[in-house]
Amino acid sequence: MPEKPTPHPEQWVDLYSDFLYRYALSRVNNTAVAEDLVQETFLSALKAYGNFDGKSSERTWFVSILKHKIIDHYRKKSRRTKYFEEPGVDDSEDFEENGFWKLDNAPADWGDRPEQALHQKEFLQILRKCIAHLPERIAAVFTLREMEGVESNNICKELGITSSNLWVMLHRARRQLRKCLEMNWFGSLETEH
Amino acid sequence: MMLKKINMLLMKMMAMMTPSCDVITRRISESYDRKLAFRERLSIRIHTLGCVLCERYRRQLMALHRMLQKYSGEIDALAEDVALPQETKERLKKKLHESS
Repeated sequence: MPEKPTPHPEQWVDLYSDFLYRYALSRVNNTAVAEDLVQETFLSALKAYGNFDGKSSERTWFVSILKHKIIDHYRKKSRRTKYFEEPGVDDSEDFEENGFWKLDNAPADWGDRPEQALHQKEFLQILRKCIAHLPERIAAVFTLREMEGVESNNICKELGITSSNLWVMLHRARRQLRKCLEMNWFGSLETEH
Repeated sequence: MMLKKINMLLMKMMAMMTPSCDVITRRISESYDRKLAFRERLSIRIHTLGCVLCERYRRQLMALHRMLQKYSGEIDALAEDVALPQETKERLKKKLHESS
């Protein structure tokens, strides 16, 4: 019989806590909550270490535990309050009453710059900051959907929200992110030409 | 020249026959989260043929989606300035030591 692996929880803290903390913080936007989530992740890992098959790296394993903790966190939040209840879309900032673009807020021409931007570290920093600037609940559903690739109906089930509510939030997230990227990256490049 | 003008006019008309830009942009976003009905996909196609702003919006959301698909794993690692305070780490170690 293979020997049962022994966990080294104190090493975990040195090796993985910063990474997990960043991961959590970019998804919950609150340092105290992020710290708690890291702690809970390690504690659960300790309990479940017997199930760790070593097929994936320890870090990947911790991340998968942390993901569940993050969803749990939001599930509790959404049960307690109407946290994820989104009022209807307010488009008036971008659109005229007749539904056409307000020219001042309409998308600028990015040309082929998105292709080039991908090779630049500064760009990813800006993308990260733009995500961090989204309202917390919007960022939460957006990262679940676009970064973790969770299916829409699963997000709705986990958080107890309706699909149309989810779609409105995701629409807001994309709209704000697009605008943030334009203001801080693509738009500012345009003035240099 | 004349043909070009007629063509442009036609495109504009096509955009006007479809729902307005606020509806179309919402639909473009939703195309990433649910399966659109054929007529909804068609309305986006036709509208963006004639509406350069919504066409930009569509392309930019596509670029954003691709970026996130490719780099979502790296974005967290980039936050090098973010770290868990040392005292929190010590507390964590103690807690884990007690629980193990």
